Parts: sequence; structure tokens; C-alpha cells
Amino acid sequence: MTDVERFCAAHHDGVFRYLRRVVGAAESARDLTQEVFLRVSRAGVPEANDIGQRAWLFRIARNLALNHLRDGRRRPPTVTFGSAAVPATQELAVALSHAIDALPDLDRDVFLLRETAGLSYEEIAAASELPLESVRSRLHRARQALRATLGHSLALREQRGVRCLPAGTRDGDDR
Amino acid sequence: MSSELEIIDAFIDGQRVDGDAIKRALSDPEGRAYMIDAWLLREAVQENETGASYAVTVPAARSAKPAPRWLVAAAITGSLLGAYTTGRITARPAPLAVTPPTTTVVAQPSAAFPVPAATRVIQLEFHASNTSGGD
Repeated sequence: MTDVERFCAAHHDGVFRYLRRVVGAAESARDLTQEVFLRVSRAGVPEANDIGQRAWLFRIARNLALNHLRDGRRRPPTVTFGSAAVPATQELAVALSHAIDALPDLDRDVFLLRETAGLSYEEIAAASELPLESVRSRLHRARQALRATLGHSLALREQRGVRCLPAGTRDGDDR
Repeated sequence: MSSELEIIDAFIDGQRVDGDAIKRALSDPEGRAYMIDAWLLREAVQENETGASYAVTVPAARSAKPAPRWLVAAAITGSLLGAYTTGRITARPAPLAVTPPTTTVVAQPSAAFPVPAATRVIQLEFHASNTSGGD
């Protein structure tokens, strides 16, 4: 396995999850993910530390996603959910989708880079070309906004208990 | 308060934070509530991802129930009968094989290697003996 293949395999899921949330449609996210890794394989992974490489990768993903949205291929308003989710969870999931869609673009982007891709603050700052302080404040603002919108659903959810999860992993990865 | 909540953000996001600062932030009920909500949000986002990709990767089960066995058996029997009948109808007697004319080649003794004349003749005689025999 070459370095590029290893790099792609390590970050494929994170890129797909991020794009899935940004562009909405799974099919488009899959196409864009392929495009991201096509560019990576053409350009080669840059000589940088791990943080720099991930930031570079997600900058490509982010730019492709923004171009995709700018080209008029708008995001669908909501995400459809499979039968794997239980109904109570579905309610929160749909509300969460709407709430994330309602965030300002940059705040949403910072939040998704953190929560779906698991990027660190430094990586988010490099990927989205924002100062580190701006990343902190946007992330906080996004969480506060989501918390305000989803307060009731989160309170209901809290009754089931809370788990300490790292960002950027899929639910169930750590079971 | 906002800066204290940002300390909590940094803490749950794996950033290095000042111990006293996080203690102060978590000593406030609002800080604790914020941390719990941030965890719940994270869990909800990750569940959301699981549900979404499930819907994508598992194409809506086309039919949850498999076809009944009698239907499968009937379909197989029908197709076998149909194939047999079609074979019977369309079968033609095989044409008689026409054997191509054959050519017999008789190998002639080669004169390239002449047989040498015998130098000694050994003659074997066989006589019936009463003493010999296997019985």
C-alpha cells in the first residue's frame, strides 16, 4: 500500500461524513469524496505533519463542497433516516438537521469540521483559513445556537444518559 | 460566562486547558449544563451520521419476506419442463455420419538399412519328456 493509499484509507470516512452533512445528499457526497481523493492521488500528499496534511485534505473537501453548493446544486432541506434509528432518536435527528442548516455558513462549517470530521482547532483554522480565535468563538456560537434550538429535545435525550464521545467518530465505533 | 463556556468547549474538544479555569467553569451549574448539552449534541450528530449512512448503504430492502418455497419449487419445475419440451420439439435426428474416403498407406521395408547375412544358425528342438511337467 502506498502512502497516498494509506492516507486515503485513513481519512475516507471522515471526508465522506463531513461532505454528507455539508451537501446533504449522500450520492453527491460520495461523488465529491471520490473527487477529493482523485485530486489527492494526482497531487500527492504534501510533506507536512499530520495536522497539516489533514487540514490540506479538508481544505480540498471544503472547497469542492462550496463549489458544488455555489453551482446551484442546493442542499436538500432535510436528511432522510433509515430504520436503524429508533423513533425518539429520529425526532432529535430531524430537528438537529434543521438546526444545523439554520446556522450561519461559517459557523456551520466549523461545527461540522469539528463534530463530523474530528479536526482539531488548529486543523479547522488551517482548513477554513480562519484565525484560531475565530474558530473557537464560531464553534462556541454554533453550539450555543444548537443548544437553544434543541433545548427540549436535548433535555429528553438527557434522560437516557450521557456518553463521553470523541468528535469525528461514528456512533457505535467505540462499542 | 461565555469565556468560561469556551473553556468547556476546549476541554471537551481535547484541547489543553488550565486546570483552575475548568474547575471554575464547572463549579457553575450553567457550565455543567453546557457540558452535558455539548456531549448530547455530539452524540446526536454521530447518531445522525449512522442513520444517514445506513439509509444510503442499505438500499431499502426490496422485499423483506423471501418468496415462499412452493413458489420457488414451482418455478424450477416449470422451467425444467419447458426446457425439456422445447428440446423435444426442436430436436432433429442427427444426420448419418459420412465417412471420408480413406487412404491406406502400406509401409514398404526400407532399403536404406540392409539386413546382414546370418553367420550362425541355432536350431532349437523340442521333445516331449515324461519327467518334466507341472503336475
